[in-house]
Amino acid sequence: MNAPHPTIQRLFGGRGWKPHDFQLETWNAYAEGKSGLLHAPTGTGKTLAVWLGPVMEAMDATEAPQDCRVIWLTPLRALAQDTARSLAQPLLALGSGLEVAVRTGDTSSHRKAKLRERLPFALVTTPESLSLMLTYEDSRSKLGQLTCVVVDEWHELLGTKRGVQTELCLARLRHWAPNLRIWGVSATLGNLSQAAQVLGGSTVARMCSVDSKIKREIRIRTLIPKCVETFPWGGHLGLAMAGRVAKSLHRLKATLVFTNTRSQSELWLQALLEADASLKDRIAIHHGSLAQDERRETEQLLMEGKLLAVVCTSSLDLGLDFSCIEQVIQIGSPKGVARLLQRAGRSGHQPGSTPKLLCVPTNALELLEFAAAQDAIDAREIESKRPLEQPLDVLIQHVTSCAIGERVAESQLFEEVRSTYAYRALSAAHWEWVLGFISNGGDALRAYPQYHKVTREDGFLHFTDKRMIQLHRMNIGTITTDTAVSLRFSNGQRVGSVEEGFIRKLKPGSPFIFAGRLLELVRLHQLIATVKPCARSKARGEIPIWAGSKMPLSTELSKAVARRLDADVNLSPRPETEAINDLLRIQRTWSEVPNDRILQIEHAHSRQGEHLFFYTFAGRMANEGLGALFAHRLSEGSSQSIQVTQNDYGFSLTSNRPLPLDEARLRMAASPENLLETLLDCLNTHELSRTRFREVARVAGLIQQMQPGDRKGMRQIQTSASLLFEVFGRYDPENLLLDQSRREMLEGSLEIDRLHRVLHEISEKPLRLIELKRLTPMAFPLWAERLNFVISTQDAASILEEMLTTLNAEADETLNHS
Amino acid sequence: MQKPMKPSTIPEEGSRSIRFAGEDLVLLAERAVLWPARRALMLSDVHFGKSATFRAHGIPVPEGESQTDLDRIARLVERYEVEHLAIIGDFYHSGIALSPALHDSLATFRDSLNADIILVRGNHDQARHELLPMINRLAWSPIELVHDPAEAIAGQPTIAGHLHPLCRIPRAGRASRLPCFLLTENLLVLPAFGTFTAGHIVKPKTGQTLYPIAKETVFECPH
Repeated sequence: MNAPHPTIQRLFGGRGWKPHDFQLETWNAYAEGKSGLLHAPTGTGKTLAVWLGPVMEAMDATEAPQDCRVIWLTPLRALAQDTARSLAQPLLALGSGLEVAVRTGDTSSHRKAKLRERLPFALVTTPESLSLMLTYEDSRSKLGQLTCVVVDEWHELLGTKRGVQTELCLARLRHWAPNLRIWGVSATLGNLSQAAQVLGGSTVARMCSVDSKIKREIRIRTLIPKCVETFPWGGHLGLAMAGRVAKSLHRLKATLVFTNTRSQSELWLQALLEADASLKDRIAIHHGSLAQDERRETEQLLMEGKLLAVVCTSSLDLGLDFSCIEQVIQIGSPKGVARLLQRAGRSGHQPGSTPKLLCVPTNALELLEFAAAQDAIDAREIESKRPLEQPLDVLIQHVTSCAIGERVAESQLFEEVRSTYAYRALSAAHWEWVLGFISNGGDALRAYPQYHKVTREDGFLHFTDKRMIQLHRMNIGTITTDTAVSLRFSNGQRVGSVEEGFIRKLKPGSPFIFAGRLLELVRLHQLIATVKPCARSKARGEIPIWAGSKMPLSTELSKAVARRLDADVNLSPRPETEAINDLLRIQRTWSEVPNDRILQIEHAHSRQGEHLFFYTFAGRMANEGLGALFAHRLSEGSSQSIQVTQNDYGFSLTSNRPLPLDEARLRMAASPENLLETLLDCLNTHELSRTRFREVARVAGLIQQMQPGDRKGMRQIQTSASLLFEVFGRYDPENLLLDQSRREMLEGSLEIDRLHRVLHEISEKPLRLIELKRLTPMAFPLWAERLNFVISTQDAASILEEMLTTLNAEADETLNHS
Repeated sequence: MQKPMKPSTIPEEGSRSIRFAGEDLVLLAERAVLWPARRALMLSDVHFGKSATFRAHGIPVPEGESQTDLDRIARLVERYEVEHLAIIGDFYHSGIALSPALHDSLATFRDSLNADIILVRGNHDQARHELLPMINRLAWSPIELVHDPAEAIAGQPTIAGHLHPLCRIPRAGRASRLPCFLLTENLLVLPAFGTFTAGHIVKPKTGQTLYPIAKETVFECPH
């Protein structure tokens, strides 16, 4: 390798640092004019690796650059200031005179106006802010000299509509600045080379892949419950360990306590406070339904070292770098390997320290999941993020933006759009449909010649209506937020905000817990809910139920779990698996332990009828589809007589009529043929598509996302997505956006690809049908899931109690005799 | 008072008769109310021209519902042979001028209808369209028709609209929202008639009766 560049020597030499190999590799690749993707964990110098390339280039130039050369995209606007600071440091140390500025949705309008006059050497921004900038008339001349776009945390954007939005913006910038290099930074993914390909698009001949090869060690420990239930049910087991969790907080500077749902985080905040009164005022809560100010305040307190712990949800999965965090706690199922790693990686950021992860299972099977997750981490089996294919809503928004300002040639734009990975196979017909949709409304509006938005003339697009442009700009972006209702005390003091769906379910006078406070709803008027502290201090408030997390166990983690259960796979025992030995012994004695080389089916009778339990390890979502499919096919259409339940491990069918048990019938039910048609036939897919349509309509500009208090005239064009879904369904059924919401529904709500794969695998596996005398530990949770359908919770509780008593007694007998 | 209705036109299936202010009224599953003794049909919140308003803002919503809704009204008038039609507010969606096409279809509708039309003004009816007469309140003794229930006079039996009431029916799995009539002692609120209208869930209070509409049938849910 060549002698280090003088800039590097000045920056590193003085401090006695030595650059990492991956940093040298990245700098060289950049200098050679290459684009690429850097894979490196946080805290290893990845920022300098991608940053110093363009900086060196600028400093080598005979004249200092006067215009913007680098755009630094960050997925989180809260991170922008932080990033700008760390980019400015080396510039200052080098005395380069180069400037860095931030432009995000949080930037003041005064500051934005300044940036419109002149852009600095480097601009830190978000995909949304960049999209908006591209609509300004002079953007092309201002960004024409760009040499580098850095996409930070690309793994966060990949597989989302924001990622596609980024792809489209990059294509635009590549067209404007042909000299442009694109560098992404990503955490570990199962499909890194694909991630690089998506970022580069087709105009970059070859994306370099730079791997830091640095593996950060993570110290993982699981809190083993003193008493492990043999028949796992619900998530109550975790709370019993609140005392031990509280104790673990005291030994360290600060801890993030991650939960899987917002309601779980509220529950745990309560439980921790009850377990340890000294935590009062030293523990806070952070989730997406809290008002932004409140979340910022919590982050600030954490930063200042005033908090011992924050109970949080995915709202803190990424974000500010809290160097004080010494430990991360995961409550409940890890759900995925990458997710667990990412969460663990939020700790141990001080030099020389190691991330620490404490796992807290909330039921016995989660012990297995934590063991399996560690197996997968050791084997580096990390989930992939699948890039999205041709979301037309994002394209509609982007093409409309492109037509603002200067006229743009349709043919050039088509080529440009097709240079992105997401739209590489976009057909001319779909392109034409999009152009119709944004200009004269297409076929559906043929009878309304006066309608027009974007003008199409001689093969050029132009969007000039000032009022419509303003409306379009206000709605740029793909993030859809649920309508928030602001919570206030009667004196006007803000408490926070919750999703409208939750608060509408409460009656005035109902108590509920919010951000750890017991509140009572006084009244709800428009989007403001007046609340007061609840007088009945002993009353256990309802925990807010937000759009619940039904996140399925990932394929990788499911496979790891199945492997742990497979007696033929020799894995060294872990404390987590030791703890469920009794459970597995009962399972083995009463039936067999299922694994994923065979399809195990258990058959049982109970007072409720006849049950079949299928162990597919397909994750909750795909199991729901499988259950519906089997019910439909085994009952030959009259599936109402069969009740289906599912969890991450399998699904069950319950019927008061005999269920077919011969292999031929079961094989037929598992056939991958006509999967889609059958599912559309037997599931309420219309309803599911309608739910998906909300986001599609919002991104495509059919629904305006505005805050209460927005201009009055706008109310006339407020409508609900479900109403539009009906209107389009009735009067424009060919609309491709309807088709898109159906596709998104199949992928997002049914995991159709996974379902397909599972059925194909099943067709090659032997079936193992086992007659049960009583419910096994693995069957029990599927059986108990049924009780959600029982009308009264009291009935459910007593049925559950009775079953548990019987099963536990028999299990004791089995264990004592063997 | 008008001559009573012919028995053959008395609505049968799916509708529901109530007593209100001493009068016999029929709640129709088509989201309208029939007053047989007066040979009158009442409905509210049509939001005529709503999709046109969206299009004026550059949002490509297909047309369809405006004509559909006029046809629905015409069919009801014909079927029940009423002589009077009262639309209790928000007949128009917005104040922007009607397109020539909408203007024409509205004129045709008016001219071909065998009943006289009275519009009661609603909060959306800012337009000064000359096509149909509009008044602020309509006294059809002993009942008064006003758009916003908040404007009802205490003790005066009133029929109103404005709220777009929906009734939430919880079911295992997923709750459904159904348009409904809302009845208290002196007030009857109609569901929105327009095809392109959503609504708001009402929580029944004591003394109120909800009449949700499902499968072309009006049901009764006393509270």
